[in-house]
Amino acid sequence: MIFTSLSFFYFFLIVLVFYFLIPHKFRWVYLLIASFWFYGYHNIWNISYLAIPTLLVYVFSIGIDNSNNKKTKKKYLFGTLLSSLSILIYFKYTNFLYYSITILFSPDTEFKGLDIILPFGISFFTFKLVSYSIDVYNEKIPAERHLGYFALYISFFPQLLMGPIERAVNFIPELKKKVNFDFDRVISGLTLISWGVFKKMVIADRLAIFVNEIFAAPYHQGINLLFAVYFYAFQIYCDFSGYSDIAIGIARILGFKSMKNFNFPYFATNMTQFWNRWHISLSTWLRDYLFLPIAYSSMRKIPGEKKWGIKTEYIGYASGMFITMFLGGLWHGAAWTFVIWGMLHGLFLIIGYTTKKARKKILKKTGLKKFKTFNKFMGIFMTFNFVSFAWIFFRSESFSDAYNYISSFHFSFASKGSEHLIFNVFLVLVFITLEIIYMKREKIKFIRNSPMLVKTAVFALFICIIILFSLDSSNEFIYLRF
Amino acid sequence: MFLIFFDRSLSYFIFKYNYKFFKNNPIEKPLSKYLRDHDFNTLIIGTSRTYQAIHPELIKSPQITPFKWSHAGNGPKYNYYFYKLYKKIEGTPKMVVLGMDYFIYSIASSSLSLSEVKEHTSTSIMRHFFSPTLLLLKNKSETDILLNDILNSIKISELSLYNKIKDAQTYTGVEKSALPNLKIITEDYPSYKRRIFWRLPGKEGDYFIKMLDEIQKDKAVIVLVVIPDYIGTVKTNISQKRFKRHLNRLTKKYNNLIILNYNFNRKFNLKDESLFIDGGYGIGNSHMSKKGAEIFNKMLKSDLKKIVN
Repeated sequence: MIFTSLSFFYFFLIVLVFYFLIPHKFRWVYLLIASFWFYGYHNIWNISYLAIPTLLVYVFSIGIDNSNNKKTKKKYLFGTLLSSLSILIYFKYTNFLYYSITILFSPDTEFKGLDIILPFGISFFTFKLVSYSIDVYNEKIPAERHLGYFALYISFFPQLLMGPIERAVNFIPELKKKVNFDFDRVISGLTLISWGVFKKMVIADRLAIFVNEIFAAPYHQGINLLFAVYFYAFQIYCDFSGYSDIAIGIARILGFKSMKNFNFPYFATNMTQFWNRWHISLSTWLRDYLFLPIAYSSMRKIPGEKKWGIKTEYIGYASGMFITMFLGGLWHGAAWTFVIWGMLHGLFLIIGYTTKKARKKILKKTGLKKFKTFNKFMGIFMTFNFVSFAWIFFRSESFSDAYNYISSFHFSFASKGSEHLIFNVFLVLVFITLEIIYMKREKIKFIRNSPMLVKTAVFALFICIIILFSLDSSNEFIYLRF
Repeated sequence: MFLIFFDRSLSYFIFKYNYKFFKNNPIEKPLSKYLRDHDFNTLIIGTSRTYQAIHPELIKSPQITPFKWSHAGNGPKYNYYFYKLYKKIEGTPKMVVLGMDYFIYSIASSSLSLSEVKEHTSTSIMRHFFSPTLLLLKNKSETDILLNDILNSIKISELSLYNKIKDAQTYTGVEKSALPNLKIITEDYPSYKRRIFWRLPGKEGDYFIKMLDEIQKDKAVIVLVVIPDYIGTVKTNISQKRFKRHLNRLTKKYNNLIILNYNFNRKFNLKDESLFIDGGYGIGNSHMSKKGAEIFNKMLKSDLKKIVN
C-alpha cells in the first residue's frame, strides 16, 4: 500500500479516527495491529518475514542484556545479527550472488534467476533490528522488555516501507509517551504530508516522464542527456524526501517525533556535507555501525603515524569509507551499478577528505578565500555535478547502459522534446523556489503573521494544485493515448 | 469550504476556456497543399490504434489509393469535422476506412486536435456542481492529457503539420524494442479491471453517427475495421457481445457499411505479444507493433480489394 494511494488514505483515516479514542494504555496494541495489517495487505506471508526476526531479536537481545559474560553476549549478538540479516540476504541478494557467480564462471550462459519476491521495506526494518542489537550489546540502551513496544518500534507503519531508520534509543520512548489530540500538531503534520505529496506526485512523477524517455534511448539526444541526469537528481530527491515527509507527517499527527531525513542536500558545498544532509537516517547508521568501527579498527592495526608514506588517519578513513560505501551501494539495490554508485561516492569522499587541507592552502594563497559567496556557489555547483554523475549508475539498468549514456553525450541541441525540457526546467525552478520558502518559512513575516483563514485558503489552493498537476499514473492512455 | 471553492473554480475555468491555451493551428492549408499534389480515393481515419495498425504504404494498390489521418486525440467529433474538411478539399472519397475501437463512445477529442479543425471544446461542469467528489480528481485523466497537449502545441506550425501529414502516409509502425517503457501485461491475474462498452451516445457518439450519415449521403463505402487487440485487452473489454450487436445494428442502418472484425474472424493471432507494443490484462487499449502491422495490413489489403471489386 503506497502512501499516495486512495487505499492508504482510507486506511490512515480509519486508524486516526479511533486512535485518540482508545486509552493510551492500549494504543500500542491498536498501532501494532494496524502496522501488521498494513504490511500484510498485499501478501499475508510478509507478516512472517517481519514477525519472526522481530521475535528472535527481542529474545536474543534480552539474552545479551541478562548475561555478564562477554563471550555469551557475543553469541547472542551473533544470534540477533543472523536472525535479522539472513532474511535480507536471502530475499535481496540470492539472485545477485547467483548471477555474479554465473557471469564469472560461465559468461555465455543465459542467466535465469530464482523466483524470489523481495518483501517491501525489508532493508529498512532489518537495519532497525541490527542497530538495536548493536546498541544493546554496546550498552547504549537496555534491551526492551515489552515485546509489544519493541514490535511496534520495528513495524511502525509510517516508517516501515521507506524509513526513516529510527534508533531505538530515540523512538521507543516516543512510542511510550502519552499523547493527546493537538490541533496545531495535526495541522503541522498535514502541511508536511501535503508538501511530501507535492514533491512526489507533481515534481518527481512529472520529471520521470522525460528521464525515462532519455535513459531508455540515449542516442542522438545531445544536451538532453545532461538535463535528464539533472532532472533525475531532482526526481529521486523529491521521490524519496517526499515519501519521508509523508512518513514524518503521519507520525507527527499520531503524536510521535520522527528524525529529519533530508536537509536540503543539493545545497551542500562538499560531499561530506551532502551525506550529512542526504538520507540522514541511513548515512548516520552507516557512519555509526560500519564506517567508524572499520576506520578505528584499521587505524588501531597500523602502528605509527604513517604507513607507505600515507597518514594512518587517511588509511583508516579510506578503508572505512570504501567498505561502507560498497555495502551502502549494495544496500540500495542488488546490482553492480549500485555498487559502482556507492564506490564513486566513496571515492569522492576520500578525495575530499584527503585534499581538504591542500585545497584550503590553495584558496588562501590565490586570495580566493575572501570570495565566500563565490566559493559557496562553486562548492554547491561541483558537489551537485559529482552527485549527478554518480546518479547515472544508480539509474542505469546495467554498466553497459551507463557507459552508453555517458559516451552518447555531446553538446548539441536536440529539438525533439524541447518543449517538455523547458517545462521540466520551469518545474525544477518552481520547486527550488518553494523549497527555499519552506526552508525559511518561520523567518518570513508574511507567512508567520498571516491569519489562520488565509493559511487555510492557501493550503486548500495548494491541494487543488497538487491534484491538478500530479501525474495520474493509472492513466493507461498517457503514452500512446487513444 | 475553500477546497470546494477552489476545486469548482479551477474546474470551471479549465473546461470552459482550455481551448484558449492553444493557438489556432488550422490544418486546412497544409492539408490542401498535400492533397493538391496527390490523388486519393480512400480515406483512413481513426485514433492512435489506427495510426499504428493501418498503413497506406502497405495497403495501396491500383484500386486503392489511401490517405491516412489518424492520431492520438482524434475522437469522433474531430473525425467528423475532419471528414467534412477533407471532402471540401479533395471531394468525396470512394471508400472511408474507419478504425473502430471498443472505447469509441467513451473518449472525447482533445482540445489540441480540435484546434486543428477550428472547433474548440468547452464543457460545462455546472451539472456536476453538487457532486460529492472533487471535480479535479474526477477529471484527472482529462486534465493530464490537456497539460500534455498544451506542451505539445507550442511547436506546432503549418510546416510541422504538413510534415506530419506527409509522414503519416509513409509510416509503417514501430518495433516494441524502440519503446522499452511500454509494457504488455501478459499475466491473467484475477483482479484485473474490466471495461464495459459504452453505449451511444457516450461522449461524442452523436458525432460518430453524424459522420456515418454524411458518408452514406455521399454514397461512399464505409468500412469499419475492428483492429486486433492483444488477447489480454480483448478479455479486459468484457462487453464484446454488446459491441458486436451494436456493430450489427449499424450494418442494418447503413446499407453501404461493411464490418471487418479482426478480433473475432480468427485470421489474426491475438495471443502473439510480439505483434503488439502495449495492452494486456487490465488495459482496455492495445497498439500494434511494426511486425503485427505487416501481417495485419496484408489481410486488410486482401479484404479491402474484395470490397472494392
